[in-house]
Amino acid sequence: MTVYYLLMVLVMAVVTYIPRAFPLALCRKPIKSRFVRSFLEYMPIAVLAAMTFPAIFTSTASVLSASIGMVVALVFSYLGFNLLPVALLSSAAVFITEFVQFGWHF
Amino acid sequence: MKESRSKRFWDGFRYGAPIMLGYAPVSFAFAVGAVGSGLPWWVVILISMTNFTSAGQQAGAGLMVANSAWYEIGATVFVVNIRYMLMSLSLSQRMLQLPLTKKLLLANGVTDEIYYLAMKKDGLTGWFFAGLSAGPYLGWVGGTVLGALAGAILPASIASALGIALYAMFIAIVVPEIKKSHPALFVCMTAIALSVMLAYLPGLSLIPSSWSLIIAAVGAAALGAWLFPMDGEEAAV
Repeated sequence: MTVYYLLMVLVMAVVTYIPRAFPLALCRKPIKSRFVRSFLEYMPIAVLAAMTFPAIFTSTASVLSASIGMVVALVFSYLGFNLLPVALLSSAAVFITEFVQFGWHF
Repeated sequence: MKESRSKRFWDGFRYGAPIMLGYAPVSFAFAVGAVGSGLPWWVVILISMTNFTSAGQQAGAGLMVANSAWYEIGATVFVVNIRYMLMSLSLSQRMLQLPLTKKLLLANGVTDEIYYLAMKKDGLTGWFFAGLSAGPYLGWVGGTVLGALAGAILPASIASALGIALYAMFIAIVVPEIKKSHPALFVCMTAIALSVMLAYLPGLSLIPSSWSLIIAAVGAAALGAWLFPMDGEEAAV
């Protein structure tokens, strides 16, 4: 089992490194196309938005607690709070909601 | 004249400190979950040290628990990580001056959040990027170590509450941007609409979620670039 674990971790490390390194190493010229440059600039927002929705709704023990956590994250982000306070406040909201929903024995 | 290496490194480190603090609870939650589902603690820590990514290693760890074959694990993790190719490509435009060996070393730091902050930095340098990714790496591995050790004793309620931390961080990154820029708001809403459609519409929902992510992101960014092309060398996002 130890050998299996070690090999699988190696496989994961390799297929994680390749997409990170290849374009960075191989693309050595500035991209001329205005469309492609705009596309690459818009990419981060598009990726984060698509990663968050709808996955956020199934990231906790109930859709209700996830929804409340999401609203808390949106409100505090809008008010200008930083990454960590937003993450902690949102987690706290989820914890409280699930406590009300399921009680201690969850 | 250029600033010294260590000045650039520590500037980057300070710039990335919020991500370091933000990553720790996320990798903590990952480790609690992975140890809880049966992986040995040292495997969980090794995964975080060598992968340094959330979605991909979560998928890989799940498959390892199920004793999947190496090619299944390899293919799934690769598909989840395809988005890094787009990030790596856009970062290459800011690092054209760097030698190959430095690029190969720095490539380890390409994560969603580090990439995001790196793209916002004017005059990005290699040492700045090294500092920018060093803190989050320590936060990621440190959170994993604590999570792997706490995994056995932590109640499920806290593990569940931490499950949302990653997404809350994504929201905290995106909201300030879409407040400032209408095209960014448009791209964000389009990506959400596409992603939700791909997840729930009959037929489309058969597409594996890692592929839907790429389709939604590429579609939204392409539509944004077509409707709102940016002027000049620098972009606002």
